[in-house]
Amino acid sequence: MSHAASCSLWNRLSIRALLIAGTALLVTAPPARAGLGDMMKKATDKAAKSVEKKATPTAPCKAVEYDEVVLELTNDRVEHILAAFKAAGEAGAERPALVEKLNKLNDERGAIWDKNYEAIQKTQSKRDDIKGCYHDGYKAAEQRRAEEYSKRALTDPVLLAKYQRLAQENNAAAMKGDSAAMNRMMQGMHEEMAPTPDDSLQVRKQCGPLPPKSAAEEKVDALDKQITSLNDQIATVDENVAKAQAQKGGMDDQQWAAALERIRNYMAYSGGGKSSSKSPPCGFSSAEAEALSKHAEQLKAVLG
Amino acid sequence: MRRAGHLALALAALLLSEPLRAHAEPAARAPAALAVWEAGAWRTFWRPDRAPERWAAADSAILRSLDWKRLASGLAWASLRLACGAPVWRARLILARLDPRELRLSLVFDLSRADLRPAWSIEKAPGDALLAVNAGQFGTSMPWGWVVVDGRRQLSPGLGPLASAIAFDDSGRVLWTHGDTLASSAGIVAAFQSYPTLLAGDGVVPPALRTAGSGVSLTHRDARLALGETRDGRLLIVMTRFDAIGEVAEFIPLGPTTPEMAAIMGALGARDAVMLDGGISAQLLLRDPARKAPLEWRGMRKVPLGLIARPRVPATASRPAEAGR
Repeated sequence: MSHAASCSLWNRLSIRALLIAGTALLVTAPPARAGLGDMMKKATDKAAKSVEKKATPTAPCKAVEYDEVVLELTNDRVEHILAAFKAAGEAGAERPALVEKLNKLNDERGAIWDKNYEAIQKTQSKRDDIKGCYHDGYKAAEQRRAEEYSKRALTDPVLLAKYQRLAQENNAAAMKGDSAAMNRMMQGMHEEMAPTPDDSLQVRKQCGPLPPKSAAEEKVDALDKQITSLNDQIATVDENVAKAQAQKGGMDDQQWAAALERIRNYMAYSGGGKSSSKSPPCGFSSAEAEALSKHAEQLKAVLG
Repeated sequence: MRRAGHLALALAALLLSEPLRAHAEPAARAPAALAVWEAGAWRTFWRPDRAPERWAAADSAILRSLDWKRLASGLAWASLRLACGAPVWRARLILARLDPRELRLSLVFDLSRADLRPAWSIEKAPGDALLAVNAGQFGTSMPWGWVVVDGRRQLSPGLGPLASAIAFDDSGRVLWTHGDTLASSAGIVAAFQSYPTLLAGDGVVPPALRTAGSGVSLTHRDARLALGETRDGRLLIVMTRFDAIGEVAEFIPLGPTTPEMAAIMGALGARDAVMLDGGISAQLLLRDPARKAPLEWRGMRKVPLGLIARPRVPATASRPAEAGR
């Protein structure tokens, strides 16, 4: 494996060339009105930005570091990948039918939504208003209960007795590590401050009931469930295809994904895989470039 | 001409000295350590042999090196340079910081109709998008795990000890859940899952990222993209691009490892963080409404899920674009 091949671009660009380019940039820059220090700062900033944007030689372009995820794309491996695409077709056989079904459901949902949009929005808006009213009502009830509680917490003998008992029970539960019992104690303390069922009834009476779902909303909800289920099924099919491909290709899932990603990367920067340059692109060995170039057409057909 | 001479000398000094120093310091002094370029020098902020199990606060050297540029209310961006000693690699970090209380976040689930293949890229970001970035992880077509778009569940939750779910409600609240639990979907307008978790439980690095053999490669290097939330409730989107000549180099699989990415997010002050799909999928658009052209870091392939941030404006009667799908 070739780990150390440097990118030819780096080798071709010398510091001297960059200096010439940088000096030319400064000479053509508009005259500065500020002092020399300021001008130098601006010029160096500009040069730095320009160089940074275009061709900063901040690090030599190296060949990829192979590891347990990134495997070398040898000719043999590339041929295995291509064979895997052909062989794993079975795992994805049901996909087209699922896609068709999904499109149909999405169309159906879209039609219902379009026809009933105004009515659905109106109902949802009303529902939101009532929910907001419930929320405000419960908050007000909580506040009222908390105020009542603070007034009687230190004077009500019944409450004091209850807390004394709860504290003892809590300590006993803590000694035993009984978290369920401790939670019950906490609940006992909180219930004194929480709104009562009477409070809830009052709030609901004041705000009115939530509007029931319309027939269109019920239909949209039912379609949404089916759409989610189909999306899940298609995702599972795709996962199975990828697994089958990776297996046929002699790789694990991660290695397979990394290999395809690198092939796409190579193809994007070498005009569809057929590079005319003698040097391999940055991040690829000569052997890899040769193997990928040799199978460019087939790779393009399966990877798009 | 004398001035031009001075400037040429200054430039020569800049060009000659910085890369040489840059090569020497992190590599020679601290193998496998992470260093940030700050005030003309590399400052090491993380070493694998002294890696914290929890990031309780941001690293001061990292904070000093950040020069946030405001793009819009609730959105700023910055970039910084990062180096590792062994193997020697250099990356540019592109950071976007957004306040979900000031920006409205939504997801776009975009697959081609004919064969349901990923169809979204930042080129499809709407004109009023201040930020657009690929979200979640995906294999061949569908996003992995839970996806909620406009309050509708599109995909069911995925399971995994290092899965993280990020959910947004209408008020700008961001809910993180890690592992095999999910936030309640009540009030959620958008949600997705991704993996692996980088930080959970207020800055804790998951044990699987600290111990070899836990199912996550701790040594694989790649171009990365991550999402995190800081302790003041702002979101950070962090993208790495290999710092070398030419665009092709940006995508070569060389960059931080997963533990290093956790360290980067922790050092930036994140309490929760998760990796998003990096490599050739990673793409980010940032828009300054005052400027015509957006800042763009393009990916090399289309993805199924995009995260969009728009300004929060009072609700209008106009129909939302995504509602019909």
